[in-house]
Amino acid sequence: MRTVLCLALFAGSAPAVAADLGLQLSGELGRLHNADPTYDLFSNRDVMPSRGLRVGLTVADTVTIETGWHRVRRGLTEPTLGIQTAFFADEFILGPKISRGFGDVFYPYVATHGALMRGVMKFDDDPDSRRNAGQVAEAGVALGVLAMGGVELRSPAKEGKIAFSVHLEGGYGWFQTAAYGDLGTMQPGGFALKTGIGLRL
Amino acid sequence: MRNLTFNLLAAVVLSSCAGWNHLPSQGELNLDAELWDPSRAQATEDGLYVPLTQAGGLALLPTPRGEPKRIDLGEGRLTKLTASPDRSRLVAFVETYACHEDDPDEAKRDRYLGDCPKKNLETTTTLRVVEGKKALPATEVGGSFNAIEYADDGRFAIAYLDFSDPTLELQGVVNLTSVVVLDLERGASTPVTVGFAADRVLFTHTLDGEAERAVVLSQNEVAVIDLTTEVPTNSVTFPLTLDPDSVVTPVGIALTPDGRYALISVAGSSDLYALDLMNESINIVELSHNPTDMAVNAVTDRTVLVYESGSVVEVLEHTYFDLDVFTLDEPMSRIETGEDFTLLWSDGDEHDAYLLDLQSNQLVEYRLQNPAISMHVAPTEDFAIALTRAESGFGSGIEGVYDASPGMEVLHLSGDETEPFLLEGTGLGVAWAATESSLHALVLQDGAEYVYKLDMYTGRAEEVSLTEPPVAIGSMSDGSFFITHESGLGLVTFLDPKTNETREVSGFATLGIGDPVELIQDKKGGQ
Repeated sequence: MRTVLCLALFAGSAPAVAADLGLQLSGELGRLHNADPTYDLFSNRDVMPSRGLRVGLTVADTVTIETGWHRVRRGLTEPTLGIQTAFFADEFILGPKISRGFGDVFYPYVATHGALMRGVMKFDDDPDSRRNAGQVAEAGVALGVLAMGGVELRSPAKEGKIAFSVHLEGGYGWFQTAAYGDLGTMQPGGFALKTGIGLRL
Repeated sequence: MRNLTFNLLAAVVLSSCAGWNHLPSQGELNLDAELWDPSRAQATEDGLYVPLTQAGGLALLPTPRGEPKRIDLGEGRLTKLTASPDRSRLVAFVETYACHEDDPDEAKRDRYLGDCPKKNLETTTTLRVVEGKKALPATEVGGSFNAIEYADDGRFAIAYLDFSDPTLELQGVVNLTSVVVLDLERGASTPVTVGFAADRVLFTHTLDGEAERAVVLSQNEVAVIDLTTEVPTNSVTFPLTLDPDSVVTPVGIALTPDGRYALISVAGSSDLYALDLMNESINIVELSHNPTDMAVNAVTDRTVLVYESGSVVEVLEHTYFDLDVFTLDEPMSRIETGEDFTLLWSDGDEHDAYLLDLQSNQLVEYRLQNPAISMHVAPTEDFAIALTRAESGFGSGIEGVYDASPGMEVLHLSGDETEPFLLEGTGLGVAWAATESSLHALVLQDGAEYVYKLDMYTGRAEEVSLTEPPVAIGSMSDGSFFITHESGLGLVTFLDPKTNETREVSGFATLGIGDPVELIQDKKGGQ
């Protein structure tokens, strides 16, 4: 039943629910450091910005199991040759978050998330054409871990009512080196930052 | 509920499947170089090798089929690629890099070539022989070398420093009197001291076709390297002048068919040096002018010389070094050779071309509509094609049309006829497809998305479509042809001349683009 309600709220199609479900839903923006020289083909900065969703289920007073998905879209255009490059990454996370509330408003926490990142490198020498010979794409997969610490601010809510939240967290992300076919390799990792707004049910 | 779940999944799937028309772009990408160079492809028995300029790597496009693959050249980046005359192997010049940082912490952080300041970078050149689709272990060559000449047997080669290369960058101490003899079969390299600034190399061969000696030209002297000894050595040096204040710069060299004499022309002089490699003596032949090109004809054992500054062609016999002089209407600067004839042409503003029959001493004159930019003799030696350029000073009528247009002219070498053709774009190259009963010329034009295929015996012409304008054409060992295109990520068309079937291979220029060149670790931070 909790899962059904989660999906309904997530899609924004269900009526407001007033029950203490221990459910946390957030929309997020994030960034992960990526100093790998290969990433220079896709971005002029060593940062992978992302946006995504996170869902948490409180399983104990201070423990929440979280899962989420983030999407990275970066690309550059080479003006002389007309080559366009693009890097897409889908990052999936799963792990526990431990938090403690102070006055039902201030919730500092730490979280450790196992992560799986699937990236796709794309090169196109005729971006105006849907199908041209010069289209190259290779995918790679890497496992990783994110160790984060942050704070969450919640709107005071009476029992059984929905609370609104905003959170900010920072930490460190590490990923394996992913091989992208014959194109090469890439290993993102370093300082990670995420922020978002959400609902607490 | 099912709809909600479907909507959610669809949103996730759609957002992760970005089409080729909507790739994100947040800025400009600045590459150090183009990803590949369509004019530097090398055909061998394995297929077509393409240097990857940006990645510093090497790609192989197998023929007649197969996916492009990257050849592992180890650490470093490919700077030059050459093929042996028999197309059995390649030699790749690979630069490896070490970074000498004063700060040990900085040294630990330096991992890739781009991390190291240029002033701290040490570059070492190694040679990798590529054979059987893989690179053999590296041969380190002391010093800077950027050019290589092969003996006909493909076993020996000599690496030297070519100062005419505009991309030449010198680092550290450079020995200007040294070349390196490479034994490609044994993987050995031997530095040999020759004269100052060596820049031309020729090989003599035994009757079995094995390389015997290398003749190396340098300023003021010519060195002969004996390749038959265990360690190649400079066996004799011929001084071209005894006056240390004067500078004699060789510009052309040819060997007589028996390998006994090396004929050497020098800059700004009408003297031709005939070096007797057997008796170690020098003859000097007085020519009418300073030669711009010379060619040895093995069948008649004679050497043909042309002069940009004089309207004559001279033919030198190799016994007494006597000259036969033939007067021309216009000076010629280039020579193409046939079995028993030479075709003389000019890459200047002249319109004439001549066939000189070396058996009968007959001279046949051809008049081209426009000046030639290249000349291509058919393998059957009964036709030649001159690619011509547009010229200024347009006339009127048909002459004016010719003058204003690039063209090509078919020369009938069995007579004195020429057939002019107007081209759509400047001719880029000609390749020949010959069988026992047919002969086709394949002509590439700048900006034209087709190959013009002309049957030389029937005059019937066809157009073989290409998807992109071509850059260069060359032949593969299986009888097919490769055509390279100006395409950012790499595009080569393989053409079967019998069926006109084409096969496109694209995208190979991205191979290894995500593998930055690593610094050599064991030298990092070393002082």
